[in-house]
Amino acid sequence: MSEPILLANIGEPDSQTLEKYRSSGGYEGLRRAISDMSPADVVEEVKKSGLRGRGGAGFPTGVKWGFVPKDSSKPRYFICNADESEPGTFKDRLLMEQDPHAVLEGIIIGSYAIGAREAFLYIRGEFADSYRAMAAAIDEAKHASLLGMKILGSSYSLEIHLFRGAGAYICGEETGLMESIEGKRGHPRLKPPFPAAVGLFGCPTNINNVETVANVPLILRKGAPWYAEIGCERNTGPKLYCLSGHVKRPGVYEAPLGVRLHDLIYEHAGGMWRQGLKLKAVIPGGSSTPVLRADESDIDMDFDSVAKAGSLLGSAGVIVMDETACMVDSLLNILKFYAHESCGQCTPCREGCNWLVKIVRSIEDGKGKSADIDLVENVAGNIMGKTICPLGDAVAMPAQSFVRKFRHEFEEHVRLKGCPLKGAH
Amino acid sequence: MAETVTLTIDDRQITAPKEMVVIEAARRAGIEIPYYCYHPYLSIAGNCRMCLVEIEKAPKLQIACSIEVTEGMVVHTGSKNVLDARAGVMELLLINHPLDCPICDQAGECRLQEYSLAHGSGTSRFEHEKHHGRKNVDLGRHIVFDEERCIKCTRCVRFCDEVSKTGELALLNRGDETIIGVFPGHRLDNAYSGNTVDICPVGALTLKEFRFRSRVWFLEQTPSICPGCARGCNVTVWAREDRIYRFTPRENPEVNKVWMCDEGRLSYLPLVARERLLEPLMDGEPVRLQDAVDRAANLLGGVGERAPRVGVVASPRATLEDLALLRRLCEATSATDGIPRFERGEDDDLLIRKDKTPNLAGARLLGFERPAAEVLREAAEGKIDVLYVMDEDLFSPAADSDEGDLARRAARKVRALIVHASFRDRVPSQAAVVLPAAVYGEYEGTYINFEGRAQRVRASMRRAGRSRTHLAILSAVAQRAGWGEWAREPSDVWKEAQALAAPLSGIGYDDVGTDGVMITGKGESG
Repeated sequence: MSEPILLANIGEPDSQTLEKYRSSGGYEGLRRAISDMSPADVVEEVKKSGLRGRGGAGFPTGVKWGFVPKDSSKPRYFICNADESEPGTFKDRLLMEQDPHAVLEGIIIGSYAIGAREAFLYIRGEFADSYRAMAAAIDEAKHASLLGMKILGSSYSLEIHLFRGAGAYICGEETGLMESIEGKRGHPRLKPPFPAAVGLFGCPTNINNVETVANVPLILRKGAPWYAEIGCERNTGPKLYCLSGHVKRPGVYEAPLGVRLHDLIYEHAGGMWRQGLKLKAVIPGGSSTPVLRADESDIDMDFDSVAKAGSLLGSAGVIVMDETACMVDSLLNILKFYAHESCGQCTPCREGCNWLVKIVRSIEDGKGKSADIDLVENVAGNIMGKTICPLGDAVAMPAQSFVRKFRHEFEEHVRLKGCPLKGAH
Repeated sequence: MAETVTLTIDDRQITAPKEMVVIEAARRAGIEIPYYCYHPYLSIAGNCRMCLVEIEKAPKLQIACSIEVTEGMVVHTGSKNVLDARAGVMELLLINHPLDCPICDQAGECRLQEYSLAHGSGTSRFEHEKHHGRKNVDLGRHIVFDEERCIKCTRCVRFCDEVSKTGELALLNRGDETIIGVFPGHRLDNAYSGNTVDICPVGALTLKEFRFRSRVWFLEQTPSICPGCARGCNVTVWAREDRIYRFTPRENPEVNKVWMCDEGRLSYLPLVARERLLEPLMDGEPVRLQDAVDRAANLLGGVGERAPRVGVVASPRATLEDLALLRRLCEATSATDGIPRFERGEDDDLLIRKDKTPNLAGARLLGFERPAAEVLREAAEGKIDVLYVMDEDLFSPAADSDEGDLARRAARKVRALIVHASFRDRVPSQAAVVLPAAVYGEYEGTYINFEGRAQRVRASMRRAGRSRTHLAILSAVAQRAGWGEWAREPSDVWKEAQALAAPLSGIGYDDVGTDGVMITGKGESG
């Protein structure tokens, strides 16, 4: 295991304080950006680092920053998306609670790079500790002239607005989040137009995940070449992996992008939680990503390799299931979540999610027919790619992959008229 | 000419203005892409997903209502992917729908029905309990809501946000529990609420005044003009067996787009509710039409004595043609004339005009400018012998200002009162002759709205009883009075109107068409 970079401060006493953060080079990246570099230079530096967005899509961050038009007469906004809600994902929370200044420094640098005078930090409502830590960090930074008017004596000023969500998963979708900030229902918007052109309050907007912005100070402090050395080709930098499920030591682990999934499970997380039980399945990137069978799961955990294996790195929420996990029941659990969180705006997701719940529940309860198994895949297909926002895909992908990869379990439920693993764990 | 682009839809080359959405470009080329939530006069919501089409080079199906045409774009609206997606959306829209078509008012004009036939699969694979919702929700004065039938297209919400700008409606709750609702303590009571029923593509919103009255396929549709105010909203009149069942707005981008106000929408109700005058009256007693006409002619002509002093009160509710003949009557009797105003409330920013009559501009065009009050005052002071009134509502106790009072005083004072009346309730007992006049829906002709647009009002019913159009009554009186043969057909009278009003020259009766025509140089003058 390599030395942690992103989590270097985590677990240290007073890690959330400005003093502690500065003692290990904190805000040096910001100082370099503001005193030595133009905003365009900062964008270029982040491009060179190869940093890809850690929210799930893996889009190159510097390229995304470059999309914000420089000639707009409207204000530009920088948003940090801290509405971390994907089941199996709990990394952003750790950063905000224990290293809030890293997040804050990243937001300031990003705002400087796109020319934003106002930034928004949208924190999941349930994250009370994150909110408190970030609010305290903002106060400290303001007093130290790292935020507010004339940052570090320069001509650059930035105001940060803290915004707490009210408990909807869909507000983590970038345009749903913007609607929420604007005081409306969290309904994702039609795209195009994209936020870079028409975002928050109709203005050019750049939105980035917490972990993404936490990488930015490192790049500015130590340089893009240093950063690009970490990880593997086209997948650079350190990454936080969230291990949960049937492992001995669930938690957040840092490793360079491209770490072996089996290393995460068997080394970092200590392997299966109970002696003698074998790995059955892994969801590699949060509950919305396609499940992998155990025999497919010895892969590199970077964006491209996981995609090649038929799933997605997503938010790197690794959910591990051993032999006692019923795949029908597990799917039902996932589907219930998305049916509950569907915003209800567009037909396929609004109507389809709960239909899937009803079908899979009847299979789990032993009332399913064999035609129902195909129906799950087919209804999921009628949602996949046909909705306004990715929530539709987020429900369709697990539904399709669970049925395709564990079809025998679904058939067994139908044949036995019940769940053979009920009460096995 | 706006900039255009050339694209291909279903192997056809189409030229469309830049920034037009694909669904419109296709529609103009005669290619129908089905939709629920799209509405050309509302913002784009893109939520129903019915208009998904395949656009080459796009990674997945796109909604035709929000994607703008681009040069060289290639669109397929009938590929297998598209048809499958449509069938999928249809199935999903119906899984929680009650399928209560036999008792649903929307039957016959329901998008769910129409698209089920065209794009649905015929069967459903949904075998679970449907999600239930409230029925018969009283949303407002005119509107009833059925939660279960609603497909959440949000057209009604957008209407209230963007057109009436009253914002009463919103989506509530989440997922498949999403419903349309009003904010607590509020009701859907804006002056335009009925439009939400028109634009509801399903049977979720229904109009209290129409629901359960008739199946729409039994009703005959006539393109006409709302008589409720000086806007002249274009409407479709839905009638059966000489009875009007509803008005719905008819598209005219220049006048009312596709909207109308609730008051205008329900302006046919008095036609049904008030008791019609079905036969002529002389001194309160029913008589033959010929006798009534004779008496009127004699009174106006002043047989056997000096010519009477005649006063005429025209009606801004009569057609241009009616008023052209009334003008001739004024000339034949050297009458003094005036026109009443029926005004209430204020003009608003959308459609409503405080002038509650459809043809004041037409009346002015024919020289009826003087306030009726002046003529009535003369009559009340004994300066007029015979008073000829075209609209009995002049005598309404509710008539604005002093006019009603003056009219009643004048009725008592003059030697003879002749009235065209359609209803019994407001006819003054002093009237010497009452001629039964046809009502809206029974006659054809022209209204000129406050902007100077001539529009065609059309008949959708037979005349009731022995009532006659104003035209027929006036030409019969003229004939008996020996003034000659006057035209009785609106298209012929139009020529007479042209002779009386220069701005009409060069415009034929049929030029008015279904969309109307602007009369040059004639706008509202005050």
